[in-house]
Amino acid sequence: MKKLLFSLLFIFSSLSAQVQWFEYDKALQIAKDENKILMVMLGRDSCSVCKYMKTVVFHDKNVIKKLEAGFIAVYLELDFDDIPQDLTYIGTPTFHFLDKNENAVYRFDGGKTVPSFLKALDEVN
Amino acid sequence: MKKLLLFLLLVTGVFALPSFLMPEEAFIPHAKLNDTMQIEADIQLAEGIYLYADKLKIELITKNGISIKEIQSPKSVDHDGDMAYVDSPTFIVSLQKEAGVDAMQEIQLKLSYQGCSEKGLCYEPLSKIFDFSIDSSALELKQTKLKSLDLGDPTPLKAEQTPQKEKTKVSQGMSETDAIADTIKSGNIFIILLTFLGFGLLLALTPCVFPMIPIISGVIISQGKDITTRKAFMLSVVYVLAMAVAYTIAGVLAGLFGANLQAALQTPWVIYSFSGVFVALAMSMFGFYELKLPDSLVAKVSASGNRGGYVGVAIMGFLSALIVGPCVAAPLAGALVYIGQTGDAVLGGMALFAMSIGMGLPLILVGVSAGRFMPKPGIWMTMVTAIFGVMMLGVAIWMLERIVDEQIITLLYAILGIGFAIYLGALESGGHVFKKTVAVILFIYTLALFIGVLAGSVSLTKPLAFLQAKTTTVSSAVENKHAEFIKITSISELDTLLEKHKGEKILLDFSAEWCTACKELEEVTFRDPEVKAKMDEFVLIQADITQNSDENKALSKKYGVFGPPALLFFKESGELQSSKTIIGFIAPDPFLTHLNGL
Repeated sequence: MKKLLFSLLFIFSSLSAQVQWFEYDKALQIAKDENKILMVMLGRDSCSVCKYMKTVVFHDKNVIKKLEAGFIAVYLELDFDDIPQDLTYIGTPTFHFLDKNENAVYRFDGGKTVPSFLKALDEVN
Repeated sequence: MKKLLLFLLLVTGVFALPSFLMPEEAFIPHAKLNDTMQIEADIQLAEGIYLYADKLKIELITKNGISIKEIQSPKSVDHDGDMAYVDSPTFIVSLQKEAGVDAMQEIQLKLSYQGCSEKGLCYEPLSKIFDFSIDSSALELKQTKLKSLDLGDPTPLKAEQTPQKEKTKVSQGMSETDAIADTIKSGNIFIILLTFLGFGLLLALTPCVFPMIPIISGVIISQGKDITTRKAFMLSVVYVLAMAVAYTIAGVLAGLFGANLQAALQTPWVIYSFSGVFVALAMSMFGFYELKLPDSLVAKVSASGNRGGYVGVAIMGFLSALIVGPCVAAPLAGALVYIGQTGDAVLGGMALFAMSIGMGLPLILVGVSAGRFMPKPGIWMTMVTAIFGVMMLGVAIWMLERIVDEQIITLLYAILGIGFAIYLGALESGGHVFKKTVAVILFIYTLALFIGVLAGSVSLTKPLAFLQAKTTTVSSAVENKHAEFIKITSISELDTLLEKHKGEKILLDFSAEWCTACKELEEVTFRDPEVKAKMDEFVLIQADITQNSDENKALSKKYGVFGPPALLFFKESGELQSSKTIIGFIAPDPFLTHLNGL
């Protein structure tokens, strides 16, 4: 019975290990329902900074917490995904923040380390 | 549309890009013809800009019988695991001509490149085309290979390889995106279903199922004395299946609305209230109060049991699920929240079906035996209920995990465990040996967890690791001479150390206090005994860039480290080992392989 308890807890806890990425349309719908801000990351596989964001920053517990609290995350790969026309970029990664009506509320270009990324998220709100 | 564009322009203006150069400022390409009819192409890189070596491509797009014979490239350097040009590179392109080509020829040379800024932005692929008039009489004749193989596009090997590399990169990228999608949907279905089946069986052992027993017994008995075991079995199965259908519907619904639930569960006040609901439900499991439907309704359904027939039994099964509903509400809610998390309706249905089958198995037994095998109520039933109560409290804490500090969470788990252990009788004399053992073990473990938290540890598996760390440093201080990192914060400090330890292998670890991946690296990977032993072969230097001071920045920039964690390796000669750099967390096993491969 203990085992069951632990395996259940394990299943529960393994669900919260990383940033949840949604598809754009789904994310937009959730953002509408929950009145959250859409964070769209434009990236490229070949981009070293994007790799850093993916392997380090988006595994940080505080980043995950903050994103989950107020944002819905979307990752768009410039090589394969259709990029909405409004989401411009001069390079990758570029972060666009949109409200539930898809109006731009904030944007920053380039990757950030954990503390400055958290700070940037604070500025969005 | 125009309005939109204007708006966009405004928006981009408002959120101007303060710190990044525009691509045309970051990279300034030139190409000119020298005296020996070679093209000298160079790309001026602005401060803090680098180019990927493997993305650089030089090709002729208008040839007129002229082709590239050879390209002399400068040496690229290891930059954070990629080969890159950090100083403005110059490429010398030697040309050759086809037989029969003479006089002045117009050619177009295309220079393609891609790079990033050290400040953390990777630019889009760029290219520039240059026009030249080539006096082909000054060119060497192309060495023809087998004429039949010559398809008139004689680009040298180097230029040909680049696009191929690009292709493989792209396909790798595809699989990586897939991998992200996979991790979202991870979770082994079989294990999930088995867990839910067990969950159901456990539920059947709570007093919750009691209201169902008279119903199913009633159904069987109402069929008359001559009922065969087979008929009794079939009736029981129909009853259980109908009940299962009711729960399955609940599961599917939870799955369908899961995404919203999931999103809702990310808002702090929703988390607090859900967590509160779970605590309330747990209290009901502990018997502080009872959740149930009005007795009149229960009686009504019981009475209709006399109707008989499969359909009647099925309807009753379905309704019974509702009767029992409030009693199993707490565990059921837990199950539904879990299903909601997955956002998967099919899985949700399957899981809840498995759970209700688990719940139904004992009922089938009761039905077939017409009440002979009824479980005897006793203290053990209260115990099962209490276990559910503890699970509920566990879930309540788990939900808070997203918004509450890790230490507090671990503390809460520890308190819950200690409480449960005491309930099980850990501190009392007497009791069954098995139960007592479980209770005492749980008590000791959670007590360790509690002490661990007070000592600053949050690990669930090694709560007392802080003790171990202390004893080893005390007892084997000599042995562990190198296990400690020498901390530095600037280039000058590092250079002094590099000079001092010339002739030894050096591991340079970029770290910062705010960097959780670095902590993981230290607590998991560096603690591994084998890794530790291997690391002793290195002089360990830690670049602490917590302050993010100018000196810190200069240090990171010098080694092309965008952010911590990063592990760099130096040879005995003091030379940085190209392509051996590790970015981000790495687990003990692959790290050991990496170290052995140096």
